[in-house]
Formats: sequence, C-alpha cells, structure tokens
Amino acid sequence: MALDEQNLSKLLRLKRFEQPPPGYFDDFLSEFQYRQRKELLKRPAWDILRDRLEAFWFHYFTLTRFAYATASLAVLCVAGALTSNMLRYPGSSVRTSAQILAANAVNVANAATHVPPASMQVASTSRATDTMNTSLSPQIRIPDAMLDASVTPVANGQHPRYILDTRPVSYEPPFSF
Amino acid sequence: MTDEPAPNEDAQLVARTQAGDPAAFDVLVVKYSPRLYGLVYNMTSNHEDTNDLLQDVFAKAYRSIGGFRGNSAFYTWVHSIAVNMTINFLKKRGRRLTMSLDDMDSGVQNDKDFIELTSSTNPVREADLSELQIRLNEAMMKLSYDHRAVVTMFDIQGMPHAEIAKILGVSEGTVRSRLFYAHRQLQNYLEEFH
Repeated sequence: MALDEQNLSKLLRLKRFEQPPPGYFDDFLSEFQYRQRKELLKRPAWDILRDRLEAFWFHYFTLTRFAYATASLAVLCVAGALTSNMLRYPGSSVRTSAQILAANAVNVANAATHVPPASMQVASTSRATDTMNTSLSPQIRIPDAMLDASVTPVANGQHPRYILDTRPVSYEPPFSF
Repeated sequence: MTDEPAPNEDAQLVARTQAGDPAAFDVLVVKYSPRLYGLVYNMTSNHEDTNDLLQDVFAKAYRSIGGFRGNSAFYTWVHSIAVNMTINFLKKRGRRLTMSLDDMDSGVQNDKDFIELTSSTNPVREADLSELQIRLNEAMMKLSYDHRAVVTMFDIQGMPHAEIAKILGVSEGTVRSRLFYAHRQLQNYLEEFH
C-alpha cells in the first residue's frame, strides 16, 4: 500500500524534531565570533608573498645602499672629469693607433706636396726613428713640423723618398741561445 | 510552524549592523540560527557539514549586509543565502548518504503526528519509526537539490509557497510543481517500505 499525501506530509513534519546536540545553539554565537576573528588573521597567499618580498628588498637595499651610492659617485666623477677634459681640450680626445697612423699618413702626403727649402732638409736617422716610435704611441700627437723635418725631399723634381734607416724593434730576431 | 519574524525589528537590527554595531548582528544570528539549521541540516543530512555551512552563511551575510537594501525581508534574504550556499556545497560534495539520526530530539515521542502514525488505527502502525525515518532520509537524499529545498521549506519548516518562491527566486507555480513531483518521488521511494 502506497503512502498517501497526508501521511507523507506527517512523516516529513517529524523531521523538524531532528535537532543538534543540546547546547549547540548556546555555543553557536561564540563559535561564529571566534571564526570571524580567526578569519581576520588569515591572510591570502599573495599578501604574505608581497610582505616577504618587501622585507627581502628592504634588507638587501640596506646592505648595499652605500655600495651602490659609492659606485654611482665614482662613475659620476669619472664621467665629469672626462667631460671637463674634453671641453677644455677639444682636440685632445683619445685616439687609437690606427687613427694616429692614418693621420700621420695624411700629414706626410701633405708635406710631400709642399717642398721645403734645401736648408731645412734634415736627414737624421735618429729623428726618423723617434718619429716612428712616437707614432706607435696612441696618446701623443705628432706635430706637423716634426713630420716635415723628417721628410727628405729630393731636388730636381723627383718624388720624395722616405728612409727608415733603422729597423723597428719588432723586426729584430729573437734571442736564441 | 510559520512563526513569521517581525520585519520592523529585523530592519532595525540590520540598520544598526550597517551603521557599525556588530552586537545587532549577533541578535540576528541567535534569532535565525535554529531555523536555518533545520533548513541546512535537512538538505545535507550531516551535522558537521551543517555547522560549517551555517557559520559560512552568517559570515557571508555579515560581509554582504552593507549591500542589503531592504528590498526583501532579512528573513528572506538570509534564507536565500543559506539555500544557495547549501546547494553549491551539495554540488561540490556530490551525493553522500550519511544519515545521523542519533541527534533526533526525544520530544518527537509527544508529537501528535508521531502518535497518530504509530497508533493502532494507522496503516503504518507496524512500521518502526526509526526505520521509517531512515528510509525517508534516504529518499530525501535521492531528490534533486531544488526539490529537496522545496520539500524542506514547505513540509518540514512549514513555510508558505509565496515565501519559498521569494527565497528561491521562482514563481509560486514552480514551487507547487516542484512539490508535486518531489512528493511523488518520495512516495515511490517509500512504496516498498509499506
């Protein structure tokens, strides 16, 4: 025999007597308030991560703050010195050996087109050697007058001839025992 | 068992809570926790889950009460939160047939429905009440969540159709329809027992 609608309703109504253990509702509010306080202490993971990163970077910058400041100051000083030097001597910029050699070649070519008087002809081998040696040094700029002095122009309309009477040191054979 | 709460009193408590008085919300918690317990427990059929859910329901209500504009009664609003959270919980948990009838109040022995059901003139007089309740709980757990909610609110808690419709956000016709099908399902599940 099927349970009719009325009996089913009565049976369902009995379920309202299913209650929690005695004293449950007395403690419910306290537990609710406790959970709320606990929730305030519970922080999301991203918030904790942010705090830890902040603490790490603060510690790191505290340790290296003066090192960075010192390095920055040194860089600024060097940059300032270079800048002031360049402003004071515009042509005194540091040049490479190749640039100096190229400049010397141009000077020599210019000198060849202007033949000096015979009285100024100097054929000093020692000075020629000096010229070569100094041209290898990147910091020293060779004055044109010195180059002109090392030139040996030939009279009678011939092309000038440049003589290096000594051999560069690099051409010397190495010592052998 | 339709002890309707006083809306004005609730409105005042809500206004005090919104103004920053947490003690006013405590009054609402004490007032509605037994009723909401019955709602959640008869849908989950587990005391521990009910306790956790009920705490979460009130916590959510407290967090959201700033946005409560009073378009419905607090009673309806907090029941909506409870039903929605319970259904979401049940969907996550899946069906778990855990009955705990040990907590059944002894007051049932004096209930007139109980006496009538177990009287000698009743067709189900031979049935043991505990066994019947177990079967009923099993049948309840076989209902869909929406049907279970309607049966809980109407048959167990004695809410009117209109109130259930407001809580669930559906029409009264839908509530009646769900009740009809839920009762038929329950009758079918309990048929073997008789």
